[in-house]
Amino acid sequence: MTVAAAVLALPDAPWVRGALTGLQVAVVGLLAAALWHLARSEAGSSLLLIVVLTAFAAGLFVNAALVVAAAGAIGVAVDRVKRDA
Amino acid sequence: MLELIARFIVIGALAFGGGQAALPLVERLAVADTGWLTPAQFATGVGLSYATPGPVLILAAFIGYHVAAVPGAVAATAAVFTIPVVLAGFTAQLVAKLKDARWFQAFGRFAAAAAVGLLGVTLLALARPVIDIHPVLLLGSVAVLAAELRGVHPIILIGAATLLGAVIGFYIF
Repeated sequence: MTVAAAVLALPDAPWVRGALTGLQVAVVGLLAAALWHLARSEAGSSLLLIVVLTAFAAGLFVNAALVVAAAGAIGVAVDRVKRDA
Repeated sequence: MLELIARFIVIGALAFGGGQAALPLVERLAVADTGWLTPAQFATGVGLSYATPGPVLILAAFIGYHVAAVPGAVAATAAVFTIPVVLAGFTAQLVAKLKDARWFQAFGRFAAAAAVGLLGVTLLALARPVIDIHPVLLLGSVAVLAAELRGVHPIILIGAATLLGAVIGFYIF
């Protein structure tokens, strides 16, 4: 909260714009790293990799919460089919 | 304010896979759906969340403050942690049962995988403003990625990138 207030209070100076740009550059790199780590831990099978890729495509057009909830529901259905097979 | 609280409660309920996996939901909420923050402001918030102690979802305080100052920050933070805390603290037996339930494990596995895919969408959304400033800046992002994969702590990377940006901004712009 304090940090948010401090950021909002920053002056519109070249060094501030540069610092915030540097921060954005770092965040993109860190998110890419997070994506790599999470993909390795959560996409442990070809089926889950398909879920990752499908969610990526769906996320470009559909509400993210719906994508997560729908994927979970599909997971339950797939598990039930596997159990009954 | 009610919309802020309701949306962050939903995010807390769907945060399978941990805080970073929930970032796409937060980005959709704060940037794409409501326009509360610009992509650049959101990236700043994510960076500060990495740089401050505690979970990444403390980002809720940053967004809440933007929307409704101190009350917004408190409300958003409380909302995003409400369901996880309630599940973890007050219904431990239920959670223990749920954790063992096959259907819940299947739901969590697929939901977490979907969150990873959505993180790719968020990555694109946050990379776009960086590319708009200058595409060559993505080389810096690649350097950060490489350094993180080699074990350099995110706080060091954020600090270095911010400092370097400030110096470049001061001398060039």
